[in-house]
Amino acid sequence: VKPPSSSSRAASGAMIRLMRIGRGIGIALGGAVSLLGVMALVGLVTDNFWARLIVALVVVVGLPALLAERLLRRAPGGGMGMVGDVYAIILLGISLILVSAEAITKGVLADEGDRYARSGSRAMARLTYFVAGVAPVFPEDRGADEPAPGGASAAPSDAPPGGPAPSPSAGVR
Amino acid sequence: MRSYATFFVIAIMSLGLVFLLVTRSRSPHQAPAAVLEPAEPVTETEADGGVEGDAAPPLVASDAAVAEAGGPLGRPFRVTALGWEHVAAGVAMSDADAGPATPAVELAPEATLSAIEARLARSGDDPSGADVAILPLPAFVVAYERLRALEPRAFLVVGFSRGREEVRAAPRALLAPPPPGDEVKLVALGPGAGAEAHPWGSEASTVLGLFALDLLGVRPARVRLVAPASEDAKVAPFAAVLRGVADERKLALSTADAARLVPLVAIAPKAQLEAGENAYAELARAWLDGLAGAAKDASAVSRRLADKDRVPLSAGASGAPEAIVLLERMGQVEPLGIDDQAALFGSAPASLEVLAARTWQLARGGGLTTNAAPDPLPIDPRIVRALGVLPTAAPAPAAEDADAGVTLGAPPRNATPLVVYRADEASADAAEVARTVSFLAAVFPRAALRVSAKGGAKAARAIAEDAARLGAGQRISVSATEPAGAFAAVEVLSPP
Repeated sequence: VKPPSSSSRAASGAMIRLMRIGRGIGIALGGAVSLLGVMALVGLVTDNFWARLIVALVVVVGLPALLAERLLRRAPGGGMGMVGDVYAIILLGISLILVSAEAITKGVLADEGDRYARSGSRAMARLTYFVAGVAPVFPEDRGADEPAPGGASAAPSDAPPGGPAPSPSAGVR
Repeated sequence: MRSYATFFVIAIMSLGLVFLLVTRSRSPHQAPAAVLEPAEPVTETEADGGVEGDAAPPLVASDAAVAEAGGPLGRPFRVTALGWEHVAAGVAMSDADAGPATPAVELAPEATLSAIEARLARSGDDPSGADVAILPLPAFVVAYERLRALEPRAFLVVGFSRGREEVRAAPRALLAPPPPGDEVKLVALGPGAGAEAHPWGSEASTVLGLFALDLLGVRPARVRLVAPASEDAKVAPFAAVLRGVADERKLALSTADAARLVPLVAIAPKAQLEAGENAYAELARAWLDGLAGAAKDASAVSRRLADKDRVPLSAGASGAPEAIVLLERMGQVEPLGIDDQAALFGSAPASLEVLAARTWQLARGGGLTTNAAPDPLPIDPRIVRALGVLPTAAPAPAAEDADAGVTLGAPPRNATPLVVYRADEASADAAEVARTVSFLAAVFPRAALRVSAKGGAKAARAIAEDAARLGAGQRISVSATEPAGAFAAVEVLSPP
């Protein structure tokens, strides 16, 4: 048997590292989006945070684990690498479906972001709004020049040349 | 080979997901304000304020359970107000030390009456809507015809305007007999001007101007409201403007004098008040407590409002004024407590019902609204009753004292006449004059009143004694001088 050259061994080691990194990114990215998506779906039934989190974790962790266990029975030599691949592919698949079905999931995910905003979790709210595909405007971010809901302007009306003149403390009530 | 294939699948799926997330078009979304949760779970005892006995009606258990889940409505109360200074109580309510039973609120201060109407029309179920609005009574009267379908009801008086509105006039113009002619010009905010925020006038200032002229004997129908930019404004003898507006006319009267004329009322649709009586009672109690809390630390509250710092704002809230302006405005509001509600929702000489009827009469006569006062008036005392406050009746004289003499006061030395009420000779009615005197004594809580009448001191004394029995107190004195061209006259005297 011809021994592998040093260059091919180095390429193989680098490739293995690259594959592990790719697998990790896939699991992290797919897991985060899937978790938010499933929590948002459970939010249609209940607003309780713990209920949403537990159900979503069961789905996100349990479903790929079930499939990985079936595959390991068929190919016992797969090891942890195959389990990681299964997790990454399943979670990325769920995420792609959730993000692609924007017409259906956008409102559900935006509602999930609203729940985080109400609870004061600004970072989670921004992340969820990002996944939902909306640009959030938080109450504190709204500027003075934004028109009121009634469409009314806050600008002073008549400029009184000969009559009363407003002082700085008068004005918008 | 298989591991290479899975790697490429994972890589392509990851890149695809990132591409989709980053490149998708994003529509704007109004995020709701953060709702401060109670620090501790609400127990049934805490939810009813921890009050035992019959001091306050307790909340039912189901309300406490709902309160624990995020407010009595299951969501925050959305409160809008005509002016940022009127949500100061909501800021104090949102503090962590406000108590676990404090209902969660979202605040939506607005600059225009039309924006308030828009929020009420959307209702509190909409993040851009409102359950409750806080505004001066004259603004409510003007808005009522546009909100009639909602059946809005005033259920709480949160304060009185104090010095924000002014009447400016030529020297002694509010003391002399009414100006001759068919119409009297008053520089004031006219009908249909409510769509924009005005730096110089408001519905309340116009009503104050009409009130002063009505006392003088100029009925509102004779008053022509002119804009300050018009040519008529230069020759108009009277102006009803907001404090801080530069005007050549001299300050004659303000709501600092008529400190009980312009109440700030909380209004809500009748159906909501009926459906959520306990919830609104809790809100009312917490809001009145919040008023007291805000008064204790006005500087911090105004700064937080100006900076929008830890203020639970609703979607679409407008920009805040500067802290110094807010501090001045907060000083122009006299906050009320739970105990003050009894007289206002009772039959006191200047009860909310009396003030609403008078305001409606003035607004209708002046053309601010096209409809006469509805019957019954849109006032709902159920929330005040639910707070455990029983509306009080006007003080009635004891039977044995009814015919006894009443001690009258003497006018304070160096007192300044503010305005004179003149009763027409044509409608000579001593009892009506006595009722008006008791009303004026209530509206001008610090002023002394000097009564003169046809028939000299004896007739004036009879009117003054009747007014004192109606609850005007001992701030009434009589004058022996007969008024010229009037059945009776009442001078409202400002203490030195």
